[in-house]
Amino acid sequence: MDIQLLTYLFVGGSFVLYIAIAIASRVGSTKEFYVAGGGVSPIANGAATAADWMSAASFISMAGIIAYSGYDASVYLMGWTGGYVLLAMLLAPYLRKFGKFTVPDFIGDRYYSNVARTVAVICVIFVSFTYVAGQMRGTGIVFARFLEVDVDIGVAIGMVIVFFYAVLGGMKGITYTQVAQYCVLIFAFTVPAIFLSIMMTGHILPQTGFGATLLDAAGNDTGVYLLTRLDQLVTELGFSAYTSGTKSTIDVFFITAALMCGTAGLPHVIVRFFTVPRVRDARVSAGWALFFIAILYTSAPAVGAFARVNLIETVDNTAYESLPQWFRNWENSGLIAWTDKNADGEVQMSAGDPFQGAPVYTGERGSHGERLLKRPHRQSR
Amino acid sequence: MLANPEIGNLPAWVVALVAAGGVAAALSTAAGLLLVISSAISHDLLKKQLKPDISEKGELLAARLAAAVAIVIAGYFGINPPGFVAQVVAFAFGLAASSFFPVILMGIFYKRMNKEGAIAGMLVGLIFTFSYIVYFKFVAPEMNTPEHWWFGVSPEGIGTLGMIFNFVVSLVVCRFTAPPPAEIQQIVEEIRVPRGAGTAVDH
Repeated sequence: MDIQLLTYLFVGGSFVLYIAIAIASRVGSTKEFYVAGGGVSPIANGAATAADWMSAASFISMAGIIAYSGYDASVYLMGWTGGYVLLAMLLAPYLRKFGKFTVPDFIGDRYYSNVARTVAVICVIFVSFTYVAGQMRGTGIVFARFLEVDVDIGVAIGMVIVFFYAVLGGMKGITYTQVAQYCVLIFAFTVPAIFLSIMMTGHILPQTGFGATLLDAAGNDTGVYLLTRLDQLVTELGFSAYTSGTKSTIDVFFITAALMCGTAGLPHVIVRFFTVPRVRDARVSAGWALFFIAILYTSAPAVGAFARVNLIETVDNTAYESLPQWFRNWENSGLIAWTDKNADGEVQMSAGDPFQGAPVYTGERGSHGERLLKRPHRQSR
Repeated sequence: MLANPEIGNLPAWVVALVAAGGVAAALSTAAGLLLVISSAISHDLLKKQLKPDISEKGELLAARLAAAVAIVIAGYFGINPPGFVAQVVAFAFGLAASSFFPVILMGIFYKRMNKEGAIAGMLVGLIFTFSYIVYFKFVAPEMNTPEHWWFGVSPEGIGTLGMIFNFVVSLVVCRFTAPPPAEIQQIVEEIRVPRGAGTAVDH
């Protein structure tokens, strides 16, 4: 079967599953709508929290940012993971004990004021819309690439699916779809990671493959460590070494702290702890969620490093015509582009002068069949 | 991540699986957030303030309607995004850190914190962080370099500074205003005591 058909089957199948769950868990009361009736088991809640909390950013962008910026991206790993611990230890059980439905509810009651409640509602709306915009975009990108539709149509399909199970099933529907979504996403993240790890280092676990030596095409140990090879590759191309950072110390500290405290203050994660029966269950499910999240987060740095080595080795100094099919697929969905700066028809990767933002095409094809860019060079500041 | 299986030449079904996984990751988080928005509107605005006598059925209907409207607005932002996925997400975290984290933390651990302090803190944190991000990302993107940043902090990290302001403002304000009522202080005390533990016996 070809990739296209399989993709339709997998994505379509997962949608059928989500909608079936939503229909099975229709709600009739506000308590069910807001906190799933407060009767979710700790393990299920742990998986749901993990899915809730690992966003399109964790899945799509994080390994990508790590591949792209290396050490600089570790702020995301540290911030998100650290913040989660902060939330689970410091806040979640107490908030559960307070026994409210929503975060503004807690703030309104604790500060005995409807003004405080309203301010909290405004904060919730600001935070959530900022965050959700990124998620919808992520959905659109996945659709655009794999189902070969426009990004905007992808966003619309995502809206319809979410509409169906969020409006129908409320928190109860969302919780059990999230459990299913966790299973889908963790499987989808670890399977390729394991494949790549075996191919490149011979280690089954990407976590150990990350620190291991590379294999050559014939499967013999080259004795070169993955990270050494990667540093060597990117330095050759004129980028700074993969394992050194470019951000100032204070900026790294501030971003990490913002991500950490932000994680602990995210209303949609906090509310997950309101859905379990008892305070004790809030703690237990926080433990499960941490375990479920760790599976993905400990593989992400390895996936990022594998991807960058692979990308550079496949693409650099290769004629455009002989690039693998995936390059053209991504080019067609507007997410990657190539400018033949020295007109030799080969792709060279090097530091400096990238174009800003998403590529804008002129709609024409260049001499090698590549899509031409409207502004191939960064505008001078 | 999405292109990874193809770059590494992995089997077709792995590529398909990754597609399903990407959608699952995005949809699960989006749904959670949309629910938070809808319950904030139907429960905290409508039920608790505007129309306290609303029926159970009415509130449920309002929650569903709010969710539907939120999805449409979210879709609009998805089609016209203000930046890359991870970047936008980093801003959301900054906003959450600067607005919620201090009031929740002090709400649990500092019983002297009162409403004046909390409201002032949240407003200062949210407005400061939001303005900083909007300024450097949309109003004057050409200024978005370390030389122009306050203390060398990028818009992605500014939430921390907003959070510090939030803490400082709320602590100062609460010093100069009346303490919270006794029953609130009592509740805060009780939150931290494990359920089932009896009160201390006076000797």
